Amino acid sequence: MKLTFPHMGNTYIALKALLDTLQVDYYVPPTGSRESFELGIANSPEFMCLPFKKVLGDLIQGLNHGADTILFGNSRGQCRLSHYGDLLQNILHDMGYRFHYINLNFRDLTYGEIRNKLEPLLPGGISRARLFSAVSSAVKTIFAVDDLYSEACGVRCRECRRGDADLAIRRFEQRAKAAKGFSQTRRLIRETKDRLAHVPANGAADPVKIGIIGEIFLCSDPFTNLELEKKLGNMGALAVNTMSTSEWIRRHFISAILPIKPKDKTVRAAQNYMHTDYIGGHGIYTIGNAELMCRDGIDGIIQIYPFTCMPEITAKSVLNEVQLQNNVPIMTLILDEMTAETGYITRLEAFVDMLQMRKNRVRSRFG
Amino acid sequence: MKSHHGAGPSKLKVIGIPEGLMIFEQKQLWKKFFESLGCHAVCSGHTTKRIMNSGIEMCCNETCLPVKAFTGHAASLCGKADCIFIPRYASVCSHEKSCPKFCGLPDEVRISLNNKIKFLEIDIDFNRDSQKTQKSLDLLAGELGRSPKTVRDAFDSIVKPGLAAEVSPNRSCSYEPGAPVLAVLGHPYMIFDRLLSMNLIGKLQDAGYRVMTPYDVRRSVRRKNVAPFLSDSFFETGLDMLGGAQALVNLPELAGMVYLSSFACGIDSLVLEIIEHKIRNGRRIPFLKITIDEHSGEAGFDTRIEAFLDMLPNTESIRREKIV
Repeated sequence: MKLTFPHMGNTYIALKALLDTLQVDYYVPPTGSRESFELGIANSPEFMCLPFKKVLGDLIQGLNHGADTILFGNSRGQCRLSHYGDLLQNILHDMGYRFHYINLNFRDLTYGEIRNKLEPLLPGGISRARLFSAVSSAVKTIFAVDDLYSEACGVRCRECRRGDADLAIRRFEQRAKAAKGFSQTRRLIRETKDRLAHVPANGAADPVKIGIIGEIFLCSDPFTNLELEKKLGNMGALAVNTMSTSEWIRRHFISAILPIKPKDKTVRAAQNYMHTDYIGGHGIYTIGNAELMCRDGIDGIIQIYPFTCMPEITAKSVLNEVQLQNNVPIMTLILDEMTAETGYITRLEAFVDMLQMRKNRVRSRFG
Repeated sequence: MKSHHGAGPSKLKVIGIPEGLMIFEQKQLWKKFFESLGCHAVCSGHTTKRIMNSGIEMCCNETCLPVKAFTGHAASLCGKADCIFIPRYASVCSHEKSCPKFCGLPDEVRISLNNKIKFLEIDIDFNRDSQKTQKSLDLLAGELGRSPKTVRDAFDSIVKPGLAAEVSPNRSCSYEPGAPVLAVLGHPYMIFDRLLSMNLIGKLQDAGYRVMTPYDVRRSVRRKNVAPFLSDSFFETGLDMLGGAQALVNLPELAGMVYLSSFACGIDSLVLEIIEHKIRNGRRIPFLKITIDEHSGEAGFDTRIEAFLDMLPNTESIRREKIV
């Protein structure tokens, strides 16, 4: 038995360590591979959303490399993610692949659910305590990796020599692929953090702060969002990503195991504009995060989502109002497989330049 | 809150009902509902070029054509009504859900219209939380100056049974065995709207075919046909299409299928794939996919339909019959 799973941003680092610990044989599809993406595009329905195409591509790569078991899931929300599983299996079957499909329920992702679904994979079985500790370590690792990346964003926009932070992250990614188990991964994260802390920073730098909101897969996956965080950083802007994998874990895993569900302040903030708490996917968080960031003081916001994403379109139609009420510019970037990187860079540059000029104007008036 | 019973005066006298999206099918229900509460209800009527253009101007660019037309319908009611009623359809029965755009529709339209008119809404979410409906009905009762009980009773007796009606109000024709049939699939507010569909059904009928839609099949049959299908909850229109297509594909007289979809429709991207998959692996029926948006030209649309009809087997005999 050999397991494969699709990529979503940097989750593979934690997932790999988890599977190492559980001693499951696995194959990680190549990261940032245009080839697997093309495979996904060629075999997906035309108007299906970008994450689906990316996921399908990764799975095809995995099956081509000897995997016979797929680890993925289904949600039960209002968006198309709830039917990814069925459609993926249909398409892969039609392509002639035979495989076993492990369907995690993303809506109710508890320890019990993970145990039920993973247990058959482990020939010797696994004790409840060991699984509990392994899954907890994986969750911790996801948080640590996200923390590392957001730290890199903070360093990148202030570094004296362009590329220092990128180099540290690139080295981290290379070595993370070879790392085995949690302790090695954790050590690697610590070392990289150390390295980032020693990057010489320009003390006088006053970067514009740009919030990233939108569809979670695109926000957290540097390959599909064409390295948005990195590009903004290298233009001298501080990127604040509200939708990371750890955010997903917090909303779907941690809230599923909590006995009391706390009131979500992001949802509450969105209710000035949407008189409901759910518009499918993470649409309501897009609006809520935009509003919260505006209140906390941010220079600009970028909404990013895949073409035809239904919840985000609904959110977008309201963002114009958020923009007017708070006087904070919001730019929407819609990506699909046809997006050309150069045009994308031009739009980002124009946005960052505009924000910088805006900031300077305010400063010269009041400062 | 002052409560009135029976046909007391309400604060909001004229309620505007935009005829688009889900209300397209259910406008009679909502009209009756408000009339029973002593209000006067005005509908926006058929989609016109003017309604559509005003909607296109006001809406966020990325949304789909039916939502744009809907916004146009709402805008056309400003001046004619005291307030506009838009229900928030999340799901009309358990294990079914609607397009996510419907969940935010009242807010979307309110913001597109710059808050220039009052809006009334009702939450309909029977899959996740039917309590929500009760709460929103109580709010509505306050707005209308009625007792909550009157409004709840009116909703339960008039609207609720019709939300998942067995027989659709938009049946395209009565079915006569023998005549060659073309199945037209698509969301009801697309295929039955003459302007949005560019009169697709009329054109096919003029060409001598009997047109059938999934809405000619009873709802329970539509649902039964998709029974072993997909995971536990699915888009309502998706189920209608899948179940309807499955029922229609078994008609011996079926000559072809046309799927009319609006550009960038998320639900259709899924449903189309599944229907095509079924047709490819089952009885091989000629299948035409047409995607339209506000930039579609009618001449190109007609050409595609003609080409499709010419390609169908036995078209000659139908044509000849029609000329004779």
